[in-house]
Amino acid sequence: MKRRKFLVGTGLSATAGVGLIGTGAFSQVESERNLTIGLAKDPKAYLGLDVADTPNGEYGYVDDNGRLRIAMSDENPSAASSPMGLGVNSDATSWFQNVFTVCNQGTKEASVYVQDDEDWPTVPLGEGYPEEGKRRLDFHLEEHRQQSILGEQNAVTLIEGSCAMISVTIRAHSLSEGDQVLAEIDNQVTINANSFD
Amino acid sequence: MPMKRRKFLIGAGALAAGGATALGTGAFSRVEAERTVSIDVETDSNAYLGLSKLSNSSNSQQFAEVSDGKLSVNIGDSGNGGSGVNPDSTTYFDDMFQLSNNGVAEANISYSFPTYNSGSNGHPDLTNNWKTPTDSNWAICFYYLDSNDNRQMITPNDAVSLDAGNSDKIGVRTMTHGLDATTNDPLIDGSITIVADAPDAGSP
Repeated sequence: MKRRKFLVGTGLSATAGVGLIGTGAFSQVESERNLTIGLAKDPKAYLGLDVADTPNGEYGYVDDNGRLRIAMSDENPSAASSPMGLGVNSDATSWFQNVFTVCNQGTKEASVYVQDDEDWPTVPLGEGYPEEGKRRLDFHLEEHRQQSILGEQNAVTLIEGSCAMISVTIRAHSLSEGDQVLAEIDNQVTINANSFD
Repeated sequence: MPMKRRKFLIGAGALAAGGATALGTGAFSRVEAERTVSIDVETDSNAYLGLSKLSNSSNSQQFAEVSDGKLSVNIGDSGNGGSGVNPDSTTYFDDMFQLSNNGVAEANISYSFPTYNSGSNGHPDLTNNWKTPTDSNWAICFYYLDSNDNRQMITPNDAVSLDAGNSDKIGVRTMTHGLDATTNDPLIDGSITIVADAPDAGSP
């Protein structure tokens, strides 16, 4: 939280400085300006992230801090109170259609994608596993299993006010009980939205 | 790498927030939102497609194994002198394992055999689609017991439907008519693929 504040402050100081430079030398200027920042929970933010209103939406939830989380694990709140399993099968490909929604709740068209990572885990090559070399986790647009939205080159365009349902493929070949599919990327995935004029 | 990700997160907060006041219109230039996705690999008994040994079934106790969290069936040595099924026979093994739908919607569950490789993963006398040579029956077939205890076969062309949270006890039937039992070849030594498809949760 402290560092976030600092970043916002930096932007303001720089702007203030531009107007003042012409008036002569100064050693330091400190100007206070009013700044109001709205912070919304994921479902209501400009980049709207929410669980889908589908059966598979149950694999996601919005946490106490308002952030969307996907949990195919014992971390899922539904796992304790329902017959829901605690994870994916080993040596299996699991497909979860329409798990969460991404909405462009800004005022301009935006291209949305999941950020790639050089450490993104894949099924090992040359060991005879099905789907070798493919990503262990992939994100797709709705029912389009062949259409990934991983990487900026695969971004989907969302016009303002529109939403897309996102599906998830998990390939747990060569993994065993107790493994985490996303250990290599610390269970963190970044969703980006770019909006251009 | 963890530092890098942290930086993204801070950036996301600042940029998203910037839109709120500075523009007032809800426009944004870029949002980067880092979120947690936790996906655990579970034992077959606890995973979304549940496969477990049955504690009250002698067949399951004798022939089903769980190794590294994965269920397998090995119909071999009985411990009492038997080392396999009889030739020219039909053999039933009731209650070999439990099949459970631990997902969130009704699922149709089916299975398929591996590509037949004569003498390697299947008995050389079988046809190349895992049928017996003389009467063209499935050499291996799974089944469940209906409410009248009748064995209902589930061929590779069929699927069983299970509601979320429900289970079935699955048996194994073998048919060995026309197979030469003197060659020491197993009936099958390979991997069965099980597919659970939940149409209400979307069809691929």
